[in-house]
Amino acid sequence: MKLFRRNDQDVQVTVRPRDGGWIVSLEGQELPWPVQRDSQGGWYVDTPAGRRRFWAHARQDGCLVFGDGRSHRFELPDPEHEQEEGNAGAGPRLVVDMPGKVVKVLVAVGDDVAAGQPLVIMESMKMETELAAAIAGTVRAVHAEAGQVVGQGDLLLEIEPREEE
Amino acid sequence: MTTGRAEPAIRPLGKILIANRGEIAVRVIRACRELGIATVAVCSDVDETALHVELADQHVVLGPAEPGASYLRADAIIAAARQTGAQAIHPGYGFLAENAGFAAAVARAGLVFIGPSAAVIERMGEKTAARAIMEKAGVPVVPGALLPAADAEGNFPAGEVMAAAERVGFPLLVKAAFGGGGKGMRLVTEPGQMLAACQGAAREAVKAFGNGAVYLERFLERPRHIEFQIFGDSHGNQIHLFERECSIQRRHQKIIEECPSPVMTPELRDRMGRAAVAAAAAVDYEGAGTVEFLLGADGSFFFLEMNTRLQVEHPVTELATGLDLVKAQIKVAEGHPLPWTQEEVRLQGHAIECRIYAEDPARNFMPSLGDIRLLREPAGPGVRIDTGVRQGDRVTMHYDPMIAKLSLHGPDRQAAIERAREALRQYAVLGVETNVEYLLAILADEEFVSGGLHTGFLAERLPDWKPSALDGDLALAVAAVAEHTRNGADHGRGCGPADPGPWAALGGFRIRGLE
Repeated sequence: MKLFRRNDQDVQVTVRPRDGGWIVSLEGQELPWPVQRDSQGGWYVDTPAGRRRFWAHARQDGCLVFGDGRSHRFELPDPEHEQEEGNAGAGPRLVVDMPGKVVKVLVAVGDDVAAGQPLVIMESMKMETELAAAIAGTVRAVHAEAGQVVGQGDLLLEIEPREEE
Repeated sequence: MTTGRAEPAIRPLGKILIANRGEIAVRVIRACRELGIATVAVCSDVDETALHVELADQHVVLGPAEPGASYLRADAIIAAARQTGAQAIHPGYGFLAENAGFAAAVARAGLVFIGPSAAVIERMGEKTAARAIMEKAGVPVVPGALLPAADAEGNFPAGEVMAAAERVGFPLLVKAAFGGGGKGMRLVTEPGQMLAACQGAAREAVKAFGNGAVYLERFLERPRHIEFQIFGDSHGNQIHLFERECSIQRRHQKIIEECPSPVMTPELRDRMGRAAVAAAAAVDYEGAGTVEFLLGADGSFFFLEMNTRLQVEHPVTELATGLDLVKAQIKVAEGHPLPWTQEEVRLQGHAIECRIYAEDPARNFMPSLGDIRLLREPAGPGVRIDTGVRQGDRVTMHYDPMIAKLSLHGPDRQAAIERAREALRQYAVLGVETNVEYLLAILADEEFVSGGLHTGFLAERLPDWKPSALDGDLALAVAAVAEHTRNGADHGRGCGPADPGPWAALGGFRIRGLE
């Protein structure tokens, strides 16, 4: 359950997956139609009035949503307030959100990595960024190589989390 | 239409420098690439990663973001052309496009200025001089008269004022001759109001501009802004490429233009077209230009001004005629005759252009500055997008907030309107606010649909328009799911950039667990 701020009011929101989509409840009231993901990274909701399409950009402090010619902003007044439902055994994956080019892969399969250790150097719009591990672990798979052009949603690395000492 | 002049030589251009930025720079670069001409972009330091720079073969950084320190620096631009071996400069629109001094400096440097001569730019740039040339050419101008000065007590010579008013005709506007912004402006509908209006206007003008000279101008009720695209070459040919209607203006800023005008008849088009060509011929015009008219409800039309450049809204003419105006500009600059005769050019179907501005309609259309976090552009038959921005670009205060032009073509006006509505609905921008919802409101207005346009349309039909306080339940639901899947409630924490940098600013990384 999360709190979102809409027009100066806090709304309790819960999200549950169902049949490939998500059922959302606002203040305990379930919306009758699921939110679904489309093939281009956008969203849609099939309502009796037709298919409503949306685009969203989630950020640390909330989410921007675009639909019907206008944008909305919903803030997360309390970003830490969330219940994580862990799916034990699913290793974290490094997936890119922005098109760019891999400049250099700094690790190989089997390497132990520490939290904060740089993994991949990326270039996008003439700016270079180092991508680092936020957790300690072992590199399980590498799906990127130097010079590779990557697009939104591409998987670069998989890391098996390691228990902290 | 030869005039006995020496046949100009053809000088093919191998490299052109584009002295502009944003969508028009992209447009010109595109035409050059299609013609196999090398391109040089110029930019300010903040624009070095901009789209127009990326598309060009080379670029030169002119200076800091402020236009006065970069895009308006004629010396630096000409130096950049010399340094890169560019033979010609295309000025785009705005910036130095209608700066006669710049055009002259380019010519002095031995480079080709893609546009008319400095002398023509200068003559057409001065309003009263332009009107005089038009009157002499038999082109109807908005009736007007400069009044003789008031005496020391602020009294005007009544006889002369009334005679001038009769000549101009009622209703008329009394305006400050040396200022704008509506200061001193008064509407006079009857002769009896004249003298008081002139005195009041003169008093305000002195206070605002230090000059109490007063000008009378016929007031057209609900005029339509109709402009004709004209084209000339160095062989003495001038033609028109039909009209555009640009009556949808918010605070004198055009936001929707179309070609052809819904009110035009073949007979009126012929008369106005002849007047436009006469205007171009009067100054032996070379290159692309636009003659602006005001069209009254009674079918009378008057010259307003001539723009000696390619205009923002040229795409609607290109869509409705099937012609490429930028390529033609280049060909004319090389010395070729016009690629088409008046008889050859044809209109087909109807085109509408919607200008997309990064403006916040909830804050009185103030520029909306920020990073474009998400950009999704529509596509499909008859959809044309001219833009200089990409997802991830930043809209700053230094430059015009127009981020794109969405132009639609259809077999008739109704089809073009339907296409425009759907394309606007598909145009998604996050990170800056835009006027898209306002454009949709205009396209839904029944007077707009029936073609009843005039320059006061927006003030009359949508004066109190506000963006809708939409029922945000669905949008909030989408936000919740987007946020939920971003953080990944179905897996643990993952990887992120060591130094957040632009990646984190763009929303970080999506972490997905097993699907």
